[in-house]
Amino acid sequence: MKKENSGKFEIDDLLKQTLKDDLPPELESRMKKQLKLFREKMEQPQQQLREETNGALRRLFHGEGLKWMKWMFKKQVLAPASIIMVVLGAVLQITGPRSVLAESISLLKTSVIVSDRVSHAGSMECSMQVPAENGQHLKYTIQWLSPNLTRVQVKKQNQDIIKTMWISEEEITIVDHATNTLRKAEKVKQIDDPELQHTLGLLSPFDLVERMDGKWRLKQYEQHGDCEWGIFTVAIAEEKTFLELTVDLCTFLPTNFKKFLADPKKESGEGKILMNVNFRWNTSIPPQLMLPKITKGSSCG
Amino acid sequence: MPDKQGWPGHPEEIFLKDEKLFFEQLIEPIEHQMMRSIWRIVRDPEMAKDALQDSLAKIWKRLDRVRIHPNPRALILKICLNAAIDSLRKRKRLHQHEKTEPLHRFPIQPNTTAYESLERKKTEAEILEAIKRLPRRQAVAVLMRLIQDQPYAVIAQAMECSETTVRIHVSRGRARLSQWLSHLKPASLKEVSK
Repeated sequence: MKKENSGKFEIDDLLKQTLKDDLPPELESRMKKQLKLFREKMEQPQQQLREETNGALRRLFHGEGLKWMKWMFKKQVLAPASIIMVVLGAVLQITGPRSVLAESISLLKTSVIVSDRVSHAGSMECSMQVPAENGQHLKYTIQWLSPNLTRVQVKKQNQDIIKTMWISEEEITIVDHATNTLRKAEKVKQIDDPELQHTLGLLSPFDLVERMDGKWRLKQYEQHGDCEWGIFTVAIAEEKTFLELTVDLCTFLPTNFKKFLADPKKESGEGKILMNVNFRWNTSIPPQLMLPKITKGSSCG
Repeated sequence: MPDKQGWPGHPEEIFLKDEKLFFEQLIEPIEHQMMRSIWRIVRDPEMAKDALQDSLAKIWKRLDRVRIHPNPRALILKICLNAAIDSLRKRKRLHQHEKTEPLHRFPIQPNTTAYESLERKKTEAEILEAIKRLPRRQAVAVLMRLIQDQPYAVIAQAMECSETTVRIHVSRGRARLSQWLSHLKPASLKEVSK
């Protein structure tokens, strides 16, 4: 205990001896000045605020200020002013720019509807054009004949069919008309033919919905008559490319799909076109056409 | 209930709304203590000025808290100590890349030889280094007790904890400092401890 206490006093003494109270007089006077300044600043705001408020009130309720105040609170002034404000509010409401939030909600809503429509589409035919060697183009016709049956035809520029691919639930068959050979595959992923690679993402409604997945941003929005047209471009560059999808906002089905090579020199960033797909969707037959026209006097059998 | 230094236990009389009275009744009487507390820890004129400035800024920011504190003067002194400790730590960061300390930090004291002065500064530097190494609350408790000579009850009020906790902080802080600074103990005291 004694030892502990002596240790305590030792360290106390050491600290007191070393960190002794020897504030230099010059520093003391400088620190005092600091404290004085602080005191002045501390007392200043309240006093200043009080004086400023008093001054403002004095100016407001005396002489010219008082006249203005009286004039402002007259009914003849207040009534037209309120009407003008209501009108300005309405104008702002009507002509104001669409908010980013509203735009993104509308875009999200549209993309959800488009995905839903595409995934429930029964049949579709699209023509696709892809640049090939020697400045030529390859033309593709992709047909969704039924939910589980797709046919792809690859044509040269001279309209000769060079390849046909059939995709059914069971298997994938590829016929090469140039070499007159037939190949079979089990899954789409197994298709290694470079000419048929371009069709990936368009082979079924599910594929297309998946391809459309991503952060699309609105590029253009047009309204034609009763129907609305919207053009969306994908924000994420897919292997240095841009995707552009045109959607018919009457049917909420895609009408055109383009793939561009990214070109940083251009303002739009779109360079050489790599793929151009035009969709033709089989529109459903209006229900009234399904009903037979029964004219008076006609009889069955 | 007044403490040993005659400070009011609960400062209803200094529950001040007026800034002028606040300064006159709270800060003015402890101005010397504030300045000296900072100087004794920082030991550098420029750092001392900065630490005082920081403490005043903190007091200004926490004015409402200081006003309703059970012992506002103890709180103000604690704020000063905290600012001084902060300055010490800041100095370490600022000069950690420098091998030598600037000359103005080692003014030669009158009536001492250059060697004595240098030795004293070396000891001082080691003690300050040890204080920096202490956990903040332990450092504050030890310094309030040893440098400001505050009673445990006042330290407890300033630190907003129990007296027992303060005693533990002081005891642990002392033990650590004793361990770290054992080589600096004066010879006479070393003999006593034997």
